[in-house]
Amino acid sequence: MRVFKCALRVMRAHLIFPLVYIVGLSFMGLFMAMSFSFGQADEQFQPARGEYAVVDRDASAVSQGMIDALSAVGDKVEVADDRRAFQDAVAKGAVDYLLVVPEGYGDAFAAAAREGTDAPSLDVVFSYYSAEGAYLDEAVGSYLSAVRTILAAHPTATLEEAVDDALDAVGHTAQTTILTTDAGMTEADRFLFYLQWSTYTLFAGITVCIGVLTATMGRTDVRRRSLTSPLPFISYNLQMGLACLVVTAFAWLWTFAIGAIAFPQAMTSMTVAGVTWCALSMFAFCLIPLAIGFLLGQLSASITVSNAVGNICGMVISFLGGAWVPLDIMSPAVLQVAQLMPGYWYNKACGLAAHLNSVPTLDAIVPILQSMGVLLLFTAVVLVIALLVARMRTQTSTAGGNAAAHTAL
Amino acid sequence: MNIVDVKNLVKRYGTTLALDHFNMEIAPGEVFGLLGPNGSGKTTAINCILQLLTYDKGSIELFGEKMSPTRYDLKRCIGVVPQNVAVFEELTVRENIDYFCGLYISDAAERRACVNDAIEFVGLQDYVKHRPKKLSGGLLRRLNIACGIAHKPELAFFDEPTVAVDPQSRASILQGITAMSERGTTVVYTSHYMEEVEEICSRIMIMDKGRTLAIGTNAQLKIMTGIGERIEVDVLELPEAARAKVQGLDCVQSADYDGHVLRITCGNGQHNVSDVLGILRTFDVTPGRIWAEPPTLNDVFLEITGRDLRD
Repeated sequence: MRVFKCALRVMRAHLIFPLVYIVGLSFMGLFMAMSFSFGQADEQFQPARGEYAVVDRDASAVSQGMIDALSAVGDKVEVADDRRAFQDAVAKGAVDYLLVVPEGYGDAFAAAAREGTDAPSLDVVFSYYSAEGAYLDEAVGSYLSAVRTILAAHPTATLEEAVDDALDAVGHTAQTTILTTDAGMTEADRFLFYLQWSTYTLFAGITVCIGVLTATMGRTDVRRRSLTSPLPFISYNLQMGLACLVVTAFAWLWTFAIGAIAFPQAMTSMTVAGVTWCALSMFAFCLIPLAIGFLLGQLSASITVSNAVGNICGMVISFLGGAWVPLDIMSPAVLQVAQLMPGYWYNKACGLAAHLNSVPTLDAIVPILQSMGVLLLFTAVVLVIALLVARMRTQTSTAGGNAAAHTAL
Repeated sequence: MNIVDVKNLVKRYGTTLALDHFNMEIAPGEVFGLLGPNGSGKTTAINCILQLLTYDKGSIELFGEKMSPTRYDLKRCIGVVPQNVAVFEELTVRENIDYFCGLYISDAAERRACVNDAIEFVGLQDYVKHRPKKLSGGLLRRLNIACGIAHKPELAFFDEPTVAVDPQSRASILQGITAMSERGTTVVYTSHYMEEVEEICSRIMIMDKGRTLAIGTNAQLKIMTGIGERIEVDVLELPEAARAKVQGLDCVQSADYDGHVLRITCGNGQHNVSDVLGILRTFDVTPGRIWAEPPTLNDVFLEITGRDLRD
């Protein structure tokens, strides 16, 4: 197992690549998945509350009603009746809404309501960008509108009665319940998103790691030295294959395990069969970058080229797999192209696997197997190309003169 | 029984004939020098012997048995020190030697002893934990050699192992190869440095265009080409008649006078210097400095392969 151990030592020397691509990107995917708010079905609806200040220079029933109306939807903050204090409170964000009720406002408002003329104006300050401020202003507006309506409709009603009735009217709120649909966003969906995004992690990580490993081990000089040794070719190739598989398996296990640990509820809400088939689909996907890395090694691609191929192809495949933008909103033409990419079939397999029952039927498993089959076909095609390249490389070097002889095998 | 026995080897690269019925026999314990201009077929011959290249015709026997790519028993007895430094940048000096030695020796204890011996042999004790990037050119070459000979091969191929190394490292490498030979290892040594080959090789082959042009010991090659010594005499004035008389000597191949120095190239002869001086005396020419140099392997090489520039 000398070659196998040597390959792992080589990989250890290039530890930066698995650290950046596999560990780093998997955490990035994790944070992205966690940052999504898919709804919280187990909590009650809580309306937003803003912070307000009222400077009541009127002290009438109407102004007191405004204070009561505001207290139902916000939290009061004390602000001194001073122009500079107003500016500070608003500018520094101490309040979302500042209301100044001028002296005599209540009487003027009642008279205007009974006569049907325009209501007197209030001094109100809130930012156009503050949703809370607009919401609090709307609460005051609703209350005043209700008072005005009651006074107009009942000319005999006292101002205090109108205020009470208005507060009673605006105090009624609609009952709110959060409902989740069957296709609702759960933690399992976050996990599924993480798996989708992992196409980039896995593709870039495995391609770069395997590319670097095979290129280093296959460097003409050292490979020739190995070939002059008594180590059988098949043993050499098998040990190299095993090393590549170990690196791939690490990337797969790490990526999947991190997701499983970060989303424990997803693990409990999904069936064992679902989790298992997701993991298997991920492994089938991992074999594609393994083959591409092997191809890069046969082409003697430099570390820079391996990085470029891993990143660019990883981004394209993950994008066309729907990891960055949902496939639902992509145009039919893009969807057709996406079907030619492995990311699409991987995500399809994971999506189907995530909703498997505990005892899945054959009908449920066959589509997953079909998607995995497509992934394995991708791998087979790339591997065949890589083997052809390896063969051509040998043939060319033995057919091109003395300089070429130096690069043989 | 020869250690290496190559008969009528033919190798073509497309339409180019790299080896043209090439023959080579190397006896046990020999340090065999393989010389030839660039593109003469040296590396191709070695690659064919090592089964890194296929060949069109001929036979290769090592240790009296037919060599093939799957003769791992024969490969176990061979060590290769390639022209380019073939080590892993990612491994330390010890790890590199251990890896390549491990391809030959599976027993850990035996391998450890061999690796230690190899490190001592090339004098890399102070650098065992260094990575190749931190080694100088000479140390790298020594590491390259250690990787090739750590398993104590019976037959070792050294392909220009002293390229771009300083004189001290070169001397150390040559000393090591001589020591290996004294321990019974058969060595095939290729180099463009003629003085090295002259110094360590017991037999030398000069090849060109895939064919053997000459083979023999250093002395045999010099006799074979008919080149004797080269004589230079400082004289202030030399009559043309004197120069013509010198030129007329049987042993003299050429005699040129450039105004201060008389340069004479001799063939094989017993009394070249005294014959030349006798003629000068008869013309009352008093020589200043007299300098006689025996022929070098370089002279032999150029005589055999020609002085035309190669690719």
